[in-house]
Amino acid sequence: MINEASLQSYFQKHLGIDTQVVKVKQTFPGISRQTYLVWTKEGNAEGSYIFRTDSKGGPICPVPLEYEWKIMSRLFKTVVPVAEPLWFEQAPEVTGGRPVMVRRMVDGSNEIPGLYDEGAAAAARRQRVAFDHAEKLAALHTLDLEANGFTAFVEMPESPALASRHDFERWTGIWRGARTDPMPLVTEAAYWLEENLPTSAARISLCKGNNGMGEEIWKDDKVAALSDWELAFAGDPAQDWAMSQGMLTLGDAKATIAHYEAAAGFSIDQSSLDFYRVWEVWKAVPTLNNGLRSFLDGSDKSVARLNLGYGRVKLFEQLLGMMIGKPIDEAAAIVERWRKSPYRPENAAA
Amino acid sequence: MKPSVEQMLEAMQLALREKVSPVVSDQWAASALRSVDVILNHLQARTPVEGPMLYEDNRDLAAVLEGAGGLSLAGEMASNGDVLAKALAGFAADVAESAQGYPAVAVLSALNVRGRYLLDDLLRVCHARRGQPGVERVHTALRGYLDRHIERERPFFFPTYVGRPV
Repeated sequence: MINEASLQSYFQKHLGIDTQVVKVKQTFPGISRQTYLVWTKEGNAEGSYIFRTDSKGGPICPVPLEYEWKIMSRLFKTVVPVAEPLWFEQAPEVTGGRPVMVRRMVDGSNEIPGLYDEGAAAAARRQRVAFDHAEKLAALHTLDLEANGFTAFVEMPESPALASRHDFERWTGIWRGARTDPMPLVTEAAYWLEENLPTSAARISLCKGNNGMGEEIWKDDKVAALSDWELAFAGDPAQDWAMSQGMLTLGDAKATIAHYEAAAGFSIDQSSLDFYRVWEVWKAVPTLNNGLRSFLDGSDKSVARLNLGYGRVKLFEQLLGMMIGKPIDEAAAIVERWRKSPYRPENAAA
Repeated sequence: MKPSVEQMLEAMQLALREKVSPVVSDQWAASALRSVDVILNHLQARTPVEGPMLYEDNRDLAAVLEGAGGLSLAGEMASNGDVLAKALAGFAADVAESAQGYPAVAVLSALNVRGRYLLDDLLRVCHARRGQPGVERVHTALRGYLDRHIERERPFFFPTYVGRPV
């Protein structure tokens, strides 16, 4: 049981006997992984930490927590803003053997109050926020992966031209191993997407995966820390823009991309962006369906996991059914219409 | 006269919406209620038609898979092809048997999963042998089934599962 008492002894073990846990708050919704905000007194000083562990049924995303720890540990030494990672344990007693990562809490919030207000001033503010996020993505995407130690554990495409193929092979392999139902339409959609894989990329970058609103820590309208790195991968930087939740509609999309391109020193190909918008819908199926396995075996019977792993997956299957066989730009337009509608399927990854 | 399952599900949903949800302020409890509401919508759409839908879908699957028998499964996938050919024949026989008497939904569902795994295998064969004689015809038939299957399932999931996911 994770509570103030158990975290008290856990943090004392790591930070010293003077440490006193004064407040603990679990963040919402935490279906894939559980995150706790922990405030401490350490002698005369105060501390604040993020304690992160897998849900009882394991993470929904089929990536171990240690991977996220390794990504953050290396990023912290770069110009990319991330919270300071402090320690990782594979199977501590406090969680009954589930892995734990602890990082320092960053001052900020995952929301920006008033961002969607009406009027010219609010619109200009939204564009500034989009530009700042674009600069942070550019900093991430221009990192030297080898010099910063990522090539030691991140699967690397053989070349920029093979980046999309690499991601395709990785996720179709995950799908074959994780699916709880045959869903042959998803198989057929994969063949359709394979015929449309982008054949070029500006470079191989460390990509964050889900990014943008709801994902990062913001302070004074700037990204204070890029957060949640479980879906990080080496690939085409255009792919991150396809996963930039709400950032391209925050201001003028062309201006935001141009700002990013100026900062990064390379261009984002529109046809690649279209492809990855559709590809991300396909990838949501194995990602979310993986979470249903622990529901089916009885180890995690939460209704949220059931709805994400089953209903939401079947909804995405329906969306793929609407797109399959169409030209990619038309399919991307269908995705955009969904994202602009009240349905907002991208929220499935929350 | 007795209330139908859908009516009972609807009554449960109404009670939760009118009596429970307005007094719940905890975000975890509110999220659980939203999830339960979605599941109740899904069950109201699925319960009255799932049996007949699966029965129809299985007959469709059997016909499509039988039609795929013309696709030669010999060649580079010979060993897997033999297994697949036997599985296709076994599936057709089991679908025919399920039409005797009154089949349980669980039986129809298990059969449906089995048939769709076979169809998934055949899709892979079709793509591996693209351009060979007879393959396009079989592939078109498999695609036709996929379109009909997803149309049959649509009311279970759309728009039921749209909206806030948690």
